[in-house]
Amino acid sequence: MKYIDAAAEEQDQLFINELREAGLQPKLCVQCLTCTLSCPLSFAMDFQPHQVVRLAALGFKKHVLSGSAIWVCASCQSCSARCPYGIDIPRLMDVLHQVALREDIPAQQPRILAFHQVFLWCLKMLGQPYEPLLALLYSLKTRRIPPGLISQGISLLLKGRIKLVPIIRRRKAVADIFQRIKARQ
Amino acid sequence: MRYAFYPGCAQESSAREYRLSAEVVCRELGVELEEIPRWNCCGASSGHFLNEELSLALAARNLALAERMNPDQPVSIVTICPACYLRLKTAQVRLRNSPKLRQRVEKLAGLPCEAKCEVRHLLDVLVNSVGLENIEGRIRSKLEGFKLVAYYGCYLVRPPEVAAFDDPENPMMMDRLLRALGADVPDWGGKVNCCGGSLTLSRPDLVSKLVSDLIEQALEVGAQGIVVACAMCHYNLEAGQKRRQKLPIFYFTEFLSLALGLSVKPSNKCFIAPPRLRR
Repeated sequence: MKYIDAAAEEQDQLFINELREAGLQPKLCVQCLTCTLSCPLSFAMDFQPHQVVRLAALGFKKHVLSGSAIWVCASCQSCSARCPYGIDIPRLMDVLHQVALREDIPAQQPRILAFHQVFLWCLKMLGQPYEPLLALLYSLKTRRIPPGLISQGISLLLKGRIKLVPIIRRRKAVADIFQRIKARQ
Repeated sequence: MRYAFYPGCAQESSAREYRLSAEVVCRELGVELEEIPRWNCCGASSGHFLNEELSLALAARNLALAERMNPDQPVSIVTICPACYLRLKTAQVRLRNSPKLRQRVEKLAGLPCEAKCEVRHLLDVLVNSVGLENIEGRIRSKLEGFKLVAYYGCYLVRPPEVAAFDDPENPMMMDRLLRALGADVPDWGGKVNCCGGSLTLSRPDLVSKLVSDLIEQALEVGAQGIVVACAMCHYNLEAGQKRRQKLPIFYFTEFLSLALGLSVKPSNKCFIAPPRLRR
């Protein structure tokens, strides 16, 4: 667990309002640590889930967005299922990703962000994910071939679990949804 | 029993055998699955991770299409993928609760959506609507001699306000189903633990750690295999195993089709070859 000294940062009222308007209530948190103790990935985070909630409640935006917790979270929902105050922590994490992206704050775990970004590119291009394209785009974006990718890709191909021809599904309908969202922003 | 079937993308590619086995099982048990015409991807993990509106709009389009299948008497949507299940059901619950949100999302989805179709997972349908007695009555070869653990993962049971068909900490439906088929299903500690989900490519080290813990726990109770209900869990549990002694991973529908004497057997497409199965 990382000790946090957020004294240098000013509370960001707009950020606090944004979270409230999204229906999130980090202020209810009493720091009981149920989320952190339930989290299967807390060992891989610097700030722990209960610290993310606290930082969000206090409006320390820069701090909360600089940690690895929001990116490492696999959205398994263990924390929120057990939170005595019903705080939707996985959704808080999602909203925080979206704030970080909007404000161009670099992700502490760029590869995790890269995966999700190429997934959405793939969706925009084909209407659905296609594993070989996903792996290719991901390797290009991170400039590195993930360990074991090639051997696993070959076994998937040999077993017939992936095809060399991508499946295209509702490309237009999906691309239209992307377009409408972009137009609104 | 007629349902609007949402197959999901993974079941069209790397997890095709999950869909095939689910379909033959449903046909045998009188569960009529009618594929939602022109369905689209739900956006999965990356959708909600990066863009909540996108995630809701992609799901809402599918909800809207399902509603049109039988406008007077909406049919329930059935999915086999827990991630799709959670995405569709989350959208349904949120659109129902907020007319303002519904209006916004309908515009993005391009279709009016009243969110009136229920969303269910096939496991729920088989255990609670078809019923274990009915399934037991049709078994042709009992799966005696198999020691299997049931793995639910995350989205069949969490968040409990959305995925509310079984106990979130100690679900029993898959255990009861496999027991009805004659398998020996010991209790174990890994049932609802996370497999690492979409971190497969970006943090394989973390997936491997979570999977190793799960495999240890399954071996501790003497399991010969792990039964899952999710394509992502299936892939992570197979690819994340680092021990020399590997445990085979099955879909629950594969075992069901085996016990019902149907043509789809636990597939040879797995990375880890299943032990020879008696018919």
